[in-house]
Amino acid sequence: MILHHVQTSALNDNALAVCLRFCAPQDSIVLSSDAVIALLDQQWLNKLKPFNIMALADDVAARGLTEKHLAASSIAINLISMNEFVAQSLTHQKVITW
Amino acid sequence: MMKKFIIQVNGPAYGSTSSYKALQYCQAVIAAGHQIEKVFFYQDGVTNSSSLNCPASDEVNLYQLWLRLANEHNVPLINCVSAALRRGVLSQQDAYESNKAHWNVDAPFVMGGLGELVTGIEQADRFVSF
Repeated sequence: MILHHVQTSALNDNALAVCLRFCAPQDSIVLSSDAVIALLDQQWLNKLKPFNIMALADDVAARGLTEKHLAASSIAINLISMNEFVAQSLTHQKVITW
Repeated sequence: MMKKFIIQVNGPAYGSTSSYKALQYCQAVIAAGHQIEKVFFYQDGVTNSSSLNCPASDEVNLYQLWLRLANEHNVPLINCVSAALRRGVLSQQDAYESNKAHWNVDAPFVMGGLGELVTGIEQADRFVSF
């Protein structure tokens, strides 16, 4: 069980794409900083759908994405705090930053 | 149960939020009762250690925040020396060896090598990179 940590926008590099290639069904993905932008794109949402997806709440808010934007996406997104990120780092066996 | 974390910082002090994210993560680790084994600054992350960074007085001063983290919670702050030297980030010893008149890295930041990262990962329960 791995926590995949993506910090960069899928529009700028291939971190999220490569992460998804190596993501196992029981793994989770945490999106932080510009990586949260992927939540606005239906094609990325479709690829994220099979996994447990978390996003840092502060980063989502900082980019003007509201609960309404996220509710419009067809997948469940858990908005988490930094404290919860730490807790998730421990419930998973390791954290990989892409 | 208390767990040990090692944190790697790859992003610059200014120009991206990743270093601040790393700092917030460290603070959250400590707030949860865990320990930061060490913070390893690599690539552009070494710019966090420059005492010559002078952000505007109403902006976040990351350098000061790292210092506070180190002093209040006894967290070792380690720079990758080769990443630092090529970015003009020098300790007094480095300045002496490279024949430079100035330096910008002082305690609690110390220069180290990738070996420090490897031993840190061995000793820690979790390794998280920003």
